[in-house]
Amino acid sequence: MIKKLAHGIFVNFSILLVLAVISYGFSRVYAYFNTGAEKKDILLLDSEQLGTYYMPKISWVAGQTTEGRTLEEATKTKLESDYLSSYYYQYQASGNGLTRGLKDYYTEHSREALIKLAGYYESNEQKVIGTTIAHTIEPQFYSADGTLIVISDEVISYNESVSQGQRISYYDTAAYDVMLLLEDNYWRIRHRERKPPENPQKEQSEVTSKYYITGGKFYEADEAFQLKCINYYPKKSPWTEMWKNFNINTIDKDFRKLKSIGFNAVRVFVPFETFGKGSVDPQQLSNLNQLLSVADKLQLKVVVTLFDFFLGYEVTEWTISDRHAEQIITAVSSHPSLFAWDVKNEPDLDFESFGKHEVTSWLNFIIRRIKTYDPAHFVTIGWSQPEVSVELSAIQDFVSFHFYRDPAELTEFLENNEYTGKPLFLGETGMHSYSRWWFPFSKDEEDQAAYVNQILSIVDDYQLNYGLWTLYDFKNVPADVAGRVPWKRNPQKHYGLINRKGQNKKIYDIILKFNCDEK
Amino acid sequence: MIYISLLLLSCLAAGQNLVELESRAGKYVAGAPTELRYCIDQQLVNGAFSLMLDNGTARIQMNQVARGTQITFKLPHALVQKSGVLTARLFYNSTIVHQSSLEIMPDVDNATRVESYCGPKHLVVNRGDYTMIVSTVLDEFGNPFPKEETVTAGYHSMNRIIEKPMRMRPLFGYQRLYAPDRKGFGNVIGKYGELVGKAFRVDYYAVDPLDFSIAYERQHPFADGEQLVIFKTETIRDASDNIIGNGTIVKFLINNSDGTTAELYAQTLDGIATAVRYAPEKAESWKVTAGIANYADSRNTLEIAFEESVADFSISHLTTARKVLIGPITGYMGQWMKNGTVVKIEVTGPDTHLLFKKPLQDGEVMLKEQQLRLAKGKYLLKATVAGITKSINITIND
Repeated sequence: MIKKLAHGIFVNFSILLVLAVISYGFSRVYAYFNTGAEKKDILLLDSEQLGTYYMPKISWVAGQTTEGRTLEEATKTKLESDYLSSYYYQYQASGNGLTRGLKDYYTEHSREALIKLAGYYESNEQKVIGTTIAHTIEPQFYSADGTLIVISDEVISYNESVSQGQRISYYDTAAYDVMLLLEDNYWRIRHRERKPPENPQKEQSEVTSKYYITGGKFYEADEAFQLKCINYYPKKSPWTEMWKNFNINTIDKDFRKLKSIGFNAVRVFVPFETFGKGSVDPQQLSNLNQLLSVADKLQLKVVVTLFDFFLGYEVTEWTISDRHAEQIITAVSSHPSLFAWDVKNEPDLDFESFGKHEVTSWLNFIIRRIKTYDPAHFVTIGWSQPEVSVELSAIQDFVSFHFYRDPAELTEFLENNEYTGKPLFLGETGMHSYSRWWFPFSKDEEDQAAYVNQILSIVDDYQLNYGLWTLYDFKNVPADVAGRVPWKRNPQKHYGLINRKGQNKKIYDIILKFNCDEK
Repeated sequence: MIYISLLLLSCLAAGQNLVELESRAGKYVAGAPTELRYCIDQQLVNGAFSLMLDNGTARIQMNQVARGTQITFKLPHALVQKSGVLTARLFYNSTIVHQSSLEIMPDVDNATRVESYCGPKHLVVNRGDYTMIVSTVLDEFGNPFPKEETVTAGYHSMNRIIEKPMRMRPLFGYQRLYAPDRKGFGNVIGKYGELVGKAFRVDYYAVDPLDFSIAYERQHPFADGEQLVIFKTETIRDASDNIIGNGTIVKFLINNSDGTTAELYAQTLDGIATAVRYAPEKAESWKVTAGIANYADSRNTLEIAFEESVADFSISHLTTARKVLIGPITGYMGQWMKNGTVVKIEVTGPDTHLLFKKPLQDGEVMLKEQQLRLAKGKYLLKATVAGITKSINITIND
């Protein structure tokens, strides 16, 4: 009998093992064919397709009265995509030595100089990568037969050059006169000449914010306030699911609840891909607007994390993130409940994979762009560690970091930090209450409450602004948040104030007391 | 190093200049050897500097360690030969410590080429049509001349040569050149002093055609289905008596007396469009008009009648030979109708209705009873040729 049972177990185990090996094999084959170079790196994309990878901001201004013909809309569209492609492929030539793209967007005479230049770069071991960020194009002349256009263009670009180990980078604003010829249905650059700057009048933003900062504190209507914030996801649809299964009634109910716990602010996350990357889904903009309206109704301030699950740090892809930021910011920046833009959640975690220089350069860039679209609202970066928060602190309005470590280390950091005049925002803190016999880092609700109590005491001592992680315990956490292994994923489900059964955890009363205690 | 960086930052913040441009900024002629010489503070001696030169096309980095209080960078040819603003940024420890601009001017004393573009090259006379010539004068490095250097448009048209100064803009000059009132062609050039660019031929076409008359030609009035009827327009002209351009499409519309219509299209050659159509096979009449869509119509309508081309014919039942003979069928001159002319035959009788065609052979059609496969009985046989129908009653005995 026992022998039979043992045999059965052995057979079943063997089958499972074989299946596991087969499925692993298939997954490796699938992964092999689905990873590797981007389409844009392999193929010579034409100007229409290139628009997915390179989307600088284009502003057309009314040109002078053209002596030739009126610029047709279709011509304008084609001209715009061909003209922009010329910059993309120019950077391909100077950055990677790939000159094949120049043929379509420069006439024979003008590309000669660029091809020579690519040779110069190669022999001098120099690489220049970069991207144009914004173009302000004014048509100057369009010939009567529609085959020659002259435009003037004010170009903002970012350039990064490496030569003999010396890396330098700079932003450049320059005006150009450009002549393009229509050849083989491509608008090709014949002449491009940089001209002296004209000191353009910058448009003044009409967006205003009711909040301001003085002496390291937030103010509203001449009254200082402390940010008591919670990082929010709905119970049944956390992370990207929140937007895929958007339900404003759930958000309304949840916001009322967190208001009743004494929070005066909420931090929400805009996932980059779910919102549509560079071409933001209007439905998601409407969802975000609805969320802000609910917050406004309850007088909650909203910190919007703009680039969640974003990895487009490559300079050549910066314009995609710029379009993402522009579309979201211009859609909601006048909303009264908007408090601040948190650029990205824990970008320092990407230092190792993408390089610190690449990540901080992008952050620098995107903050400049956010400030262009919305100079009124605060901008910060949600660093994962307090020690990193010194990075780019000069260009942030307030300094934000997350903290899940020993509270004593937080005190030590606060004692030694040298920030002056900028509020500090402990954007994420908390502890899980996940406990299993096999899990060495088990914590229960008592541990959770004790930890948060200690943190809140520091928050109180240093008059920090804080943000708790999070309102609910979750049933599911996506694998891309905490990985697939249960000892990482399961604790992530148990950081809430309220458990999955809807019961208040021990931490609840501590938070309620802290938030509502009038000091 | 850290000390120097901090010093640098603090000096920059305080508005002190640790680096000065010693060489001249301002304007240079393209191709002239140029160098940038900076004077640096004693504290930065032995420091590594990078000069970034940017004219939008080329971005060239030059690295140098300051061995004294002066550093000099010789600018590469690629940069000094290209006209436009050249921005020079001097970096020390990744920070810009000096920024200046040079303006490289085209070498206007050495014009080497006039590059011209012209279009449209097909103009209609008397309608305000114009062609536009755009010209750029280039120096030996391919730099376009500034707008202060005027280019001239030369226009050879109708035995006259006209020269007009172009309207100058940055990178180019342009001029409108209008079509004359007579068709023909002209030549257009852009010139700068003695330097002349490519010549362009511009053709002038007649303006909208006026209404025209039409005529037809045929050999005889009979509907023999063979002869070609030729329709022709007169020479179509515009209001200035210019013959309209070759290839203009003229549509001939034929309304048949049986209520059907037919359209023929023809292109003009020297102002005349010619179309042809076969005569009908039966007597009918046509009304013909012509037009050039949205521009002109024929002033007259042609009325063309066709007479029957087949004389009366007989059908006989040769009972002994058990054959039916249709014909002989003769034409309007008594001639046999040509071989292959189609005869439509219809046979009706008890439970029978046959419909078929047979070609004429030597002016007749011979039908064998056996071929008809008719059962015993009486039948009516009809034969139709060129619109004429004859019939006969036949009896099949076995």
